[in-house]
Amino acid sequence: MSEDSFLVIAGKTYQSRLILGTGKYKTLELMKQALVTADPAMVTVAVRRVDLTDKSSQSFWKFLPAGLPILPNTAGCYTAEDAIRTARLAREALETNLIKLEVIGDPKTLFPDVEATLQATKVLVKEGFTVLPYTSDDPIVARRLEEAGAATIMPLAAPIGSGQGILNPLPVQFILQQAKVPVIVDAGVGTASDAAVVMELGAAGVLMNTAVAEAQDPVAMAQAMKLAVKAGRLAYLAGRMPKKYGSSASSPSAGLVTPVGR
Amino acid sequence: MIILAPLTNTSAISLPVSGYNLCVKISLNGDLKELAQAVTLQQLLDDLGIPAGRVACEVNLKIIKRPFYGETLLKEGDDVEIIQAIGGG
Repeated sequence: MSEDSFLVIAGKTYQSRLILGTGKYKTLELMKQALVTADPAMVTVAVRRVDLTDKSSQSFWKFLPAGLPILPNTAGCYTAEDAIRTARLAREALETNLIKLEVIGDPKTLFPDVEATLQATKVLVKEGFTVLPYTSDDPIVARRLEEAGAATIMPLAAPIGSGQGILNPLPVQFILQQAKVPVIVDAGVGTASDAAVVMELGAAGVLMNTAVAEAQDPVAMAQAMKLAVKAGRLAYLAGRMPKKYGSSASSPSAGLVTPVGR
Repeated sequence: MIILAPLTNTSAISLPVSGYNLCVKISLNGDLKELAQAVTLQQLLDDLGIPAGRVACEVNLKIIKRPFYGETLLKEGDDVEIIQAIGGG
């Protein structure tokens, strides 16, 4: 396999094309097992106030596999200003320039506010952040984000946490065709085949949280996702056969023992 | 302990309180707290039992870099935020 097997973000190489979230697990131990099993490129974390009444929240780190790159997010931010503030705090706390930029526009759909996302991207890129923006599947917005210096484009496959799988592949394909930075499909994947479909389209990676965390058996799903992302990528590289509108027998008709139609 | 009981009167934070010169009222992660004396950010973290390693601190919306925790004296009315990473997507 070529170097194409690896995901490269802002000059750094990752051995996996899967990025996992760390939220919603029933227990931290389950999260740890899922992360060890999936062996993702990196894991996302949220940035929140330290709970001064509950010290147990500080044990989160003990359950993150050592050496796993951390991708802090700005989840829960509804303005560019809040997202920028959160990104700066994340950089200070976690000593990483990576930021998964999320500026949410609506609490019901959790769709991104793309105008604010673009605005925040410009500011954060100027401040030296490696910005991975969560965005809609709008190819024009994707181009603007890339022009603003985003390190990746992360269009949604379906609403965050919906598990619907990719609902509208065509605009994502438009983004894939034009983008010169990695396109990582973020949000909406529900099961392994969804991840494989996204990778078969040519996505550079997939980011997911709920699909693994809320599976009946998160550790088994972590393994399934790991394999699906690899299988999808391999299928993309292999180049699928063209779709046909008719059948085409796989076995030759010559040399049949019994002639057809006797 | 350098932290006294949390304040319930929100207006107290900006009012000078005579006779309590050693008391400093701050907002800590959105809650009003009264400190027993003028303390540094480092002393506050120590008192809260928070290791400085994986947190970030803001005083009045300005991030205080880790090496400066020990020299950042908390003043009356300061808005202090201490954040950390938790599970999330």
